[in-house]
Amino acid sequence: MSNPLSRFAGWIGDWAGQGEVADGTEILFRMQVSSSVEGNALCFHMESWVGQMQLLHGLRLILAPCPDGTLQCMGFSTRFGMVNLTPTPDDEDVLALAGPATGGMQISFSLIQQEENTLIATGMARPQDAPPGFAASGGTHGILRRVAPWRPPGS
Amino acid sequence: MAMTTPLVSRFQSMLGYWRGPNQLETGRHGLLEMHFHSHFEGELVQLDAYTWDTVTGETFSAGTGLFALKHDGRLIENLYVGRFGFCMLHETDDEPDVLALLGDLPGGRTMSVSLRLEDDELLLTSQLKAGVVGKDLPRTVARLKRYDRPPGEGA
Amino acid sequence: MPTPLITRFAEWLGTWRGKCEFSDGREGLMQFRLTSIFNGEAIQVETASYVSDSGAPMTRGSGFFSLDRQGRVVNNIYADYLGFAVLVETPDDPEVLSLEGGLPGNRTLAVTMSVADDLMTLSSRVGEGYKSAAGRPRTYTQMRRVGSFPRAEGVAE
Repeated sequence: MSNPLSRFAGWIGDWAGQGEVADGTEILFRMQVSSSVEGNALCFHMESWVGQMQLLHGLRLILAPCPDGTLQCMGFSTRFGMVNLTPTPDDEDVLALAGPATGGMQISFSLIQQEENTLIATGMARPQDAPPGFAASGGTHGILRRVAPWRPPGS
Repeated sequence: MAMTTPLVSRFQSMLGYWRGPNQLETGRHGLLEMHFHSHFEGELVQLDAYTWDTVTGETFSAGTGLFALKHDGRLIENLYVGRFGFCMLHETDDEPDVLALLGDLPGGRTMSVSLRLEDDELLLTSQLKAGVVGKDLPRTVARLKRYDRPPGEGA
Repeated sequence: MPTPLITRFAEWLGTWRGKCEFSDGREGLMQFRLTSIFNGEAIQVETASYVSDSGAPMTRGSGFFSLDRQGRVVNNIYADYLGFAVLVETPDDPEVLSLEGGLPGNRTLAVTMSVADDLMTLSSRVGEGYKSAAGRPRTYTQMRRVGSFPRAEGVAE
């Protein structure tokens, strides 16, 4: 199949899990991956929650091929504004994206397939004008598992 | 029920499904469907748009756009259209009841879009302009009728 | 690991659109969208039909495919012009999905669907309770897949 999205199509579905942000605050994660733009794009809708189910961060991304076949990604972050991300070369089972946000931050985000039904999500933001060697203080890390219907043990 | 935010208040009367005849730049006739829906408690409005052949149902064009507000209160749209790729549109000055956006496309072209509600019709005009060299394409006009409005967020 | 439902209907997932002839003689455009939900335990089916030229709505429907304990497809549907119904698979050729069930008002609904070469064919017929509906007009559509539903290599969903 020539569709460059094919390697991520197996991620279509619902994912949920736990993680933490840089200061150690525990978060709940939810991610929905769906086909979009009549199959020409994948939509990643991500939400992280703290405390009494307050939305800490919402991120909605559209990953799609340009007319020349290269993948690009655009989206919106409730914390950083519009984002325009470019996939960075990585392994087949990794989606690594980086690029600027209109709020002035440089965003990096990755999903790494750990096992068939496990994804590791990491996100980082630093000012676009940060000097070399700047250590990003914020970061999110979580483990997402595919949401599958419960079955009785042994079935 | 979608929370009313400054962004949603701009789009309140447009949320939902719209459909109507459309003529493409090439002169072909189609049906245009637009679906405005909000996410993240009204921090983001998404527009999904499709144009298809009125006889065969074949898709001419499919795209999706994400609208948010900048710090200055003006709209910004992150847009993906399969035929063109990615671009960012910025709100421009126009009549108070017109939502007008302008942005650069790959290849030195520019795209302008305007939306206006006239009674129960949504009037959409768009134009692709060539770069320094080349010919501007004719402005396309579509009059869309609302045909569905499921209540609440995600409408 | 794809579920038995997805193994059987992987090629049906996505969006389909094409001309439709309704049983009452009208013509329009029909659109079907089939989406896997709950990790393949069910398939959501959304249908809509339009007047070709104006885009005015003609019919809307929604439903779910799932498998019962015998492995038969059960289709829970709602359509604005029919109401609610539960359709159950009836024997047919392996590549054809035939469904039948009761409608409100002592009517029956029979649907046959198949997909071959990215062409989905659907035929449906509404009958009256205890009589065979073989002679009644049917709604018939052939829809082409629109877009390119991304599917992972070797993964059905």
